[in-house]
Amino acid sequence: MFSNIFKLIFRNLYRYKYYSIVNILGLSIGVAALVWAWQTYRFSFSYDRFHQDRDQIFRILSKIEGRDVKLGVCPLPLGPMAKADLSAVSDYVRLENINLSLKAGQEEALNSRVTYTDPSFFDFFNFPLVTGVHEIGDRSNILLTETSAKKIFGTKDPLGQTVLLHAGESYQQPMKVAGVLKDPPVNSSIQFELITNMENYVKNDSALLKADDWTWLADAIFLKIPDPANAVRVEKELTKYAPIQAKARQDLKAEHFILDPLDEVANHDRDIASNVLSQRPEDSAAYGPLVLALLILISSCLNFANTTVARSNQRLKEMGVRKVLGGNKMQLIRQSLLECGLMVFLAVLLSTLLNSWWLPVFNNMFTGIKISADYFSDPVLLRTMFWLWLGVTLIAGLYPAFYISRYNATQIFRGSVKFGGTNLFSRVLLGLQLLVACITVIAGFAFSRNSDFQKNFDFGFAVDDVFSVQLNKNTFDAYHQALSQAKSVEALAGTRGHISSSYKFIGLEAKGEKKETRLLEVGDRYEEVMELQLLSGRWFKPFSTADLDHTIVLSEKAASEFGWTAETALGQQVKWDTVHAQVIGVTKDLYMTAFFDPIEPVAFAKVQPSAYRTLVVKSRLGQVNAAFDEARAIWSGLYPMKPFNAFYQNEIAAEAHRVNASIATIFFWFAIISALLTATGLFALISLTILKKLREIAIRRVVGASPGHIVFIVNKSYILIFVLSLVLGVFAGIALTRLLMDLIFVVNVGVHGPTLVYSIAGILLLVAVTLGIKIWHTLSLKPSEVLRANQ
Amino acid sequence: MIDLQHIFKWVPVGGARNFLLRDLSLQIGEGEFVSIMGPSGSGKTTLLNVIGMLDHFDEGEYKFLHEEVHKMKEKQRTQLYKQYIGFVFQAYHLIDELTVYENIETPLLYQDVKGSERKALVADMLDRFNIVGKKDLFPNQLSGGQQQLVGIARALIAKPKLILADEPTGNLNSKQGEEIMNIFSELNQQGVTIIQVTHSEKNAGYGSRIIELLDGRIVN
Repeated sequence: MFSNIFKLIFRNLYRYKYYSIVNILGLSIGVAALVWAWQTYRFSFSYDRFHQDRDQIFRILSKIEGRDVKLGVCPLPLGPMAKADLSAVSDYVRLENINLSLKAGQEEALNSRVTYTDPSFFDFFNFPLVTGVHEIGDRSNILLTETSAKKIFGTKDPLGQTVLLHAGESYQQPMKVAGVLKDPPVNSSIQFELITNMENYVKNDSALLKADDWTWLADAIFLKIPDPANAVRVEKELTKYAPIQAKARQDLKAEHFILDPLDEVANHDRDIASNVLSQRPEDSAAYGPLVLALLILISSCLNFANTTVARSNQRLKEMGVRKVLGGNKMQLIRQSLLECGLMVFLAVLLSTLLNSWWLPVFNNMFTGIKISADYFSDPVLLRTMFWLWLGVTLIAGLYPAFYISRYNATQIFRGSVKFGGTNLFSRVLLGLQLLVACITVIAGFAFSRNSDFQKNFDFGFAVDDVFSVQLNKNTFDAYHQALSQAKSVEALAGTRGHISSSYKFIGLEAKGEKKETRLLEVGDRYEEVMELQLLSGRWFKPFSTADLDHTIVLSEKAASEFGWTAETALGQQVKWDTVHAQVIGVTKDLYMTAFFDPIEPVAFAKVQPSAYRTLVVKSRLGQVNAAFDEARAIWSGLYPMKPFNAFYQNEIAAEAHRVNASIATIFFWFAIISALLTATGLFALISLTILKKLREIAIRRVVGASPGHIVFIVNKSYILIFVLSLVLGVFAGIALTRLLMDLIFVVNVGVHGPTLVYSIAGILLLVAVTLGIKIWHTLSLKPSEVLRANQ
Repeated sequence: MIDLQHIFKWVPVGGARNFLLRDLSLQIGEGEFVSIMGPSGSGKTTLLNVIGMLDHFDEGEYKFLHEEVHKMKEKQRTQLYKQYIGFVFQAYHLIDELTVYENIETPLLYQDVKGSERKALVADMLDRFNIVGKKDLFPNQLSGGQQQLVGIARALIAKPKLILADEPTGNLNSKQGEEIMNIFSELNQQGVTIIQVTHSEKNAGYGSRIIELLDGRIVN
């Protein structure tokens, strides 16, 4: 039975090649999209799930007095103390990351991130070893990831080799490579390149860390609590250490500590400050693709159902014969579903090919996302594929199956059953497709407009022609001096704090209120080089100590937190930590994190030249690349052993541009796909309508109907559904696009009038061209011939 | 074998009824060869479809091999005609996508006949009608007469007691028509009951009885 049906199916597929190709391709795109979205979703919620003891591991977060957000950092001695004092805690591990210059043999010095941790690290976490040992109890050992081994040693065997940490400094440390680890997976909140013992950590003043230093905040501390039910008690017990910390750090007084389960560690998008651990992609990245893929999949299912029903008259005779030969209704429905199931199966196979191309492309578009589809080693994915196959088969195949099998043989042979596909249900399906096309087209246009909007956006500070160089107290003066002679450099400013790279959070107090504010301690002429725009008052007096320690400049947002305008803020007294200061100026707001976060309150204070650690460089107009190269050359001349740490200011917007451009690209393709699906569905239905009315049209033309009237006759049953789905589609498109855009970018352009006009025009053009081709073809037939053939 | 009592079948036209069969009673015994004749629209095909259980009727009683068809559910009816009835059509109605072999095999598939047995039955049938060499061809590669042979072979494959033929020679030339009618005669001699609808007096002559219809009634 099945072999007979399979034969028939394949012969039918071959006979109606174009129909089969369009349908299988459409479905495969839908399936591929959903698999992509599903894997993205699973990836987003898979962070840190690969650690065996993960339910026993908790990270300590610090709640600081007067600060709303929790901090990821934690006093260094808290780990050992908790283990020593609290019976429920079996072990601890501390993490500290630092970027430093590193040198191996005769190779050039590199800038690398080194992670300092305790030997218990590998008891806590499962990061597999490739070669050597994962032993960092011996302080002279260092472990590398595969990538960093390749970066440092190329193809050479790294085991037993020596690397020099802090190369070029007086306190440089030789280390022996004891092992190579696999790269931490992207869905690990703990990322590292090189790992060594915590005790090797060297502070800025070149001294080693002291284990009982309560002023030092480690990047992260984890506790192991073998019975997780004790976590609540441990959290309470940790509170007794808060006063010790508060005494040691007046500027960051701990109130209490919070235990965060390892499963939650990657879920803190932006509600934790000073968080060095990687976070999972935002919700929009997890849910956005799902919505999009479902739309496309539904559209391709609708297309399948519509074209199958539309084509069913070609199959009616076969169905009739089968009924006469003893096939009952269920058998015919089964055959029809089987046929659909087979096409969906082919589509599923094709989707794996599509995804083998698309997933790497997608991974390259966004950092921090790495999606793969290992169909055979991932049982969840395999199950998903099975359910997807079944679901799509039923959704796409049930209606045509019942439609085709419901007529009885005598009706069919008598010829009273003709051309299905133009009934209300088919028209509604087409309407839904049009709606989906509207949504994706609007989203596509809106995101590309948003891209333009972001390119020309005023951040409140200079982003073009500016870059900054990270220095230290030993290199600052000499490098500053050397760079001031550079030809392509227009201006320089030394500073400690710098927009979007170096600032600290303070609790700014005035009128008895305390508001969390970012404080940038800046140097002379910083405002000039960064082109900050003053709304009122004045900036700090350059090259004078007059404004040190008792003046402050607020951003408009910081002033408004206390209910002040740019004018009324002037002269007000504010306080933070032990400093009392007077507001001397108000600047325009700054978008420090590009478009991702709302505007935050910012304050500027003046800092002495001896504290400068960053040199901000403004190039001559349009010469930023030349200036950057010149700055690098000067650096290499001065410090051949040390890596050059410099960043273009426009990098802060670059990530936003990339994200936006990627989303626009995705929507662009989805818009094209859904438009093509709609066009195919529309073409099929209109072809049938015309076939049904061919005789009527010919007679009308003989008696003198105009082409316009013929167009009306053909389309009249669709007009209402077109208008309705267009209107609904526009509203749904606006709503969904806004939702998605707001989820990703706090600052965005939304859906503008022109976007809607272009989208609607695009859809109408698509409909007009599809209809036009078919109607033009009909009008080119000679009425006399049509009538002779349809007597 | 067939006992029709006061059969009415109509289609509603506006508020009125347009009768296709009107108070029709008919008995046909096993082994008969009956020809149904009459002008276009007289209800010949409708009667054949009612007998073949492809079409419903609105009033009356129908017994097939002493079973009351009018009281049966669709599924039982299908079961019944699958077992006892074979159809032959004027337009052959072969499935275009299947080969000669597969077309003949299809009814057996619906009766869940085992593969080896199917092979043997189809091979017999191909042999009997001398079309072994054509078994891998598709219907559009055959002449009309050959297609009708396949149609008959398919109707016979499940060993029916009754063959219903709706103008089986209507699309054939006279020589081909004659061949087909001879086959029917042979079948009838072997005990198969045959009911055919025909316009041709000559073909009607092959039968043992002629029923003439006019406006849905039997007139002789």
